[in-house]
Amino acid sequence: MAFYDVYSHPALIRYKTSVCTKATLFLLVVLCLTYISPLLVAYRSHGFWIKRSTYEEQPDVRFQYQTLLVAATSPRGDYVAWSTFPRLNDMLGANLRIPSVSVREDDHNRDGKSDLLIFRLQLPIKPEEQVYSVQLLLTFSYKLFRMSTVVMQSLAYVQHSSPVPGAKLSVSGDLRLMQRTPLPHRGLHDVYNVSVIDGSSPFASAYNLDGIIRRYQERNLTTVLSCPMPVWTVGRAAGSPFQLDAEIRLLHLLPPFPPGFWEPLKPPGIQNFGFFFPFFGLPQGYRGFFSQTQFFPTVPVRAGKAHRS
Amino acid sequence: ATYLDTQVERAPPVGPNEEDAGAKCNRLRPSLLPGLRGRSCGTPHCRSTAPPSVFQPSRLTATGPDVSALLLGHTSDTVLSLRSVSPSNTTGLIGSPSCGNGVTQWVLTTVQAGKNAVWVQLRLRKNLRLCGKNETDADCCPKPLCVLETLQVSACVGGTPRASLLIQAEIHARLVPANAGAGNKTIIPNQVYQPLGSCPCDLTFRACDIRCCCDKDCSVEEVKLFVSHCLPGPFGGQVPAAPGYQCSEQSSANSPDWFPFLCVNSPPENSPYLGLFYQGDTITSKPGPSFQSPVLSAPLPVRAYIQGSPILLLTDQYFTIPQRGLEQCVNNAPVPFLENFNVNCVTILRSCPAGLPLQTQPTNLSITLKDGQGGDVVVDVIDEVAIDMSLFISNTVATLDEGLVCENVTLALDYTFYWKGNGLTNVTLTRTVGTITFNTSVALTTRYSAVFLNGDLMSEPNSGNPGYQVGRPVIAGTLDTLGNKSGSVQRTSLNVWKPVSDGLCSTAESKPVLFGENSTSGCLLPVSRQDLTRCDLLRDAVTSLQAALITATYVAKSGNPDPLIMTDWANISFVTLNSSTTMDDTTSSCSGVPSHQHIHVLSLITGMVEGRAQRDIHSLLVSYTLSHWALDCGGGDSSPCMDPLETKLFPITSSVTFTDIPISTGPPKTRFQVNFTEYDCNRNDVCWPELAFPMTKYYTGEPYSQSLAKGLILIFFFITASILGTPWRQIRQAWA
Repeated sequence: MAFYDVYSHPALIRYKTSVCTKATLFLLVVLCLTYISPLLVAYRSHGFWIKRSTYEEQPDVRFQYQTLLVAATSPRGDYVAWSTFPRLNDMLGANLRIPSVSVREDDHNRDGKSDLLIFRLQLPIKPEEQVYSVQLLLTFSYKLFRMSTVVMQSLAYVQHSSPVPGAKLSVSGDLRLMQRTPLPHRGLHDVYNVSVIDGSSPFASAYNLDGIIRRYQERNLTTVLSCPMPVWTVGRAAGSPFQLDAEIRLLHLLPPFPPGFWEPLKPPGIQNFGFFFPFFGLPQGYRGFFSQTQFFPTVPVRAGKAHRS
Repeated sequence: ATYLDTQVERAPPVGPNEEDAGAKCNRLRPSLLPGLRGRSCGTPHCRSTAPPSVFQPSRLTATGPDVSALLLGHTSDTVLSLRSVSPSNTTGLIGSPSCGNGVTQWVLTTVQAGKNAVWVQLRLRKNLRLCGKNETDADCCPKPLCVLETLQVSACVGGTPRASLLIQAEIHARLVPANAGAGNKTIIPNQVYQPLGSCPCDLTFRACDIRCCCDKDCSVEEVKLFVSHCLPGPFGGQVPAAPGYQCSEQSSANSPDWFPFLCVNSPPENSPYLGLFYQGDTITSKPGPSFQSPVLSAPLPVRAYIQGSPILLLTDQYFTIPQRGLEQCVNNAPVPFLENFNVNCVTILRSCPAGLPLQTQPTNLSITLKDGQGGDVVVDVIDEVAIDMSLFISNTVATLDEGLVCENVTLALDYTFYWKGNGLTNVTLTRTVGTITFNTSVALTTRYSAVFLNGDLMSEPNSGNPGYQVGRPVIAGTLDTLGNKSGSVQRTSLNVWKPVSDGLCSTAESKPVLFGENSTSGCLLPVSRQDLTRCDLLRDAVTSLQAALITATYVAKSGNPDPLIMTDWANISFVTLNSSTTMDDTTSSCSGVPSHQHIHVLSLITGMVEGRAQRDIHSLLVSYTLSHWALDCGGGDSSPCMDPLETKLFPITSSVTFTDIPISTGPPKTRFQVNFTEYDCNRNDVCWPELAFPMTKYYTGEPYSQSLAKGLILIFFFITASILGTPWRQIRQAWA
């Protein structure tokens, strides 16, 4: 004779106990296992909290039209110099030589932010002089907007020297952002919105390059001109000036910053959730097994009866 | 509307040689010639109609009132006919050429250009000015797009067409009065409908610009030279004919299959670049940084000097001394109040100097300065004559015939400013002059200094108060047993070698040991074989050389020691280290020479003054390392061994090491803390203190108060959710 199910229905049995029993303790342990263990597993498997983020932004860089130029015109220490600071030019006396400078800022994609700065300088040189080294300092104003608003004054420094006197120096590089500490993730950051060169100072010590560079490098946020390949052309034609061509690209960059309060909370939630399901079944199974076998004494009540009584 | 009455120096966009260039074919706008779509001049169709004669080019686009083309081939009995054609409504094709003349507004003329070539020219008989309001004159354009038609010129021989020329005329009305076109003035078409620079690469007036294929000054032969290297893009005159969304632009190759449903029917006057509603509005631009005019501001008159304010003359001008600026010496640099400096300037002299600052007169130097308190102070000039010129002249070539003799050259200017309060009390200047002689050129070093003194003289400075400051000299001392200060400690300094020029010990100087800076230096001692035979003398000589560096017996524990309190001073202990290998003295070697002197300073932090650690010297140990000096005569260099007076250089060195004695803070680390690094976030990426990272001190993104507030909000929501949820209900049931 074959038996078959005519009808079936689940019977709900509630296992009841009071607060201060072993079953309550067991329930607490099971609850802890259910919720704490996925947290621990997710945490121990690295990458739980986001500690650094980056974003992509093209900075708004503007040439400030401030320039310092020093050129050594003999191997023994003669020099000519020029700057856009009238006080310094006045001090230079006979060593002042005014070059012809042309500057162009190109915006290829017409988005209002310059993409390329083309700086051309022609320095007149006496017939008995030769150019052995060039030091050039340009200042920029630098702005970032997407996360925190960063406004600062920065500089680019070009230096090249050669034992062979030159006719032309070509520099083509990128203006890169250098960060020692991460930027804030919001707000205004204008600590460094001060002049890199104090053009109002009448004293000669304000224009010393080593002081300017040292003060600048103490900052946490700087720009450097990354130009690994300057080209020095020798053989200056008679009567022609020394030429300095600089192309400075103002590129996209990824400044790191510490995320805000809510941002680090997002991935841990997903990770917890991911580990929650494997850990959910096992303690629930334990709960069922120990209740049905009455390992911890409880009062089983058939559903419905408790309400009626 | 644009009306330019000034003469514009450029090729007219609408000129008599409008369609000279043979390369115009690719600019044909197929939108108005749908029947010809897909064909080009290169196809056999163009040539096969009449093999003996052919139009070159066979298709033209006319944007001005003059069009011309060449009819090549057998032309003697050819009759030209002109008619206006339109594409068929059903097929979109233009009918085959016929020899019948139609009524057009064009005049056809022919000029024999050669034996087998006829220059065919068409001229519009219509005035291209735009009709005014309520004007009924027929000779004007009622619409901005004045002429829009397709013309066909057929070359017929005996009533049968042999060649045909298709001209698409699309001519806009001119916005200038008819008489304005007279003379040399350039006619500017309406920019709303026609780009002003139809050929931007045409830069030279009445000359052919190379690689500019749209330049109407270029003849067909010239264009052939560079037709494959035409300047690309709009700069080369290759403007896109019509925007891609126009229905007339559909081509089977590129457009997607849904294009006929979504394309746009728009009149050709509607420029996609400027639009019908373009009014030429502009916004005001923000002025950016630019080169500034060099304004040299006069110094502000000061009432009282403060730190860093410039010292002024009576005439309210800057008082200047040569100083360093841009890493070079600059002559007329202002002097800041209370800032000492000392600069050396190197000048290459090729002739005797004449002007300042190398030639100075005492009357020029003895100037009157503002003293900062309402009065004035005169610079006292003291003259000195330099005897030793080696301090001022370098790399001169000694020649017998001294060429130039420059007398009374100012070699040094040393200013001493005595100050009190906000003003100067006295200024003295020591001017050093000398006579320099040289042949062709000389590098002259001049020295300029300024020292600000409060009181009469600079007293000996301390090295810290109370602890030593890094970079200040270590104070040593000897016990003064003579004189009236018996029992007090006389200050000296600890020294290390400072080699100069050739580096020999006979010329070497010494420099003080600076606190906190490890250093090493040395000098060279020439030793001959004769010296090595008398080892005791040699050892004594070296020992005395080294001992001359440290004459002191005490070292100050703190930076401001009291010479009378002996607890402020610590004894210096001397140790002689034995060399590991003991070798006997031989005829050409000596052992046990104290060639290296090592100063080991032990310092420790003795306390904190306002959060700054004060470091004192705990003890100072001077040790000598003995070494074995022997002549090495191998390798062919045997002269020191042969000649007893030939010398070899041996090094005598000294070094300083500072060691901090660390202060133990708290109990020592247990083995668990050392080995189990789970709790050390510096050594472990995943560490337990960072479990709740945004709420800990390791999180730097926001201030702690804000992250705490946000964390509490989060916990509040969590608790609310759990109270309303299942566990709380169960607990309520349990209590019930």
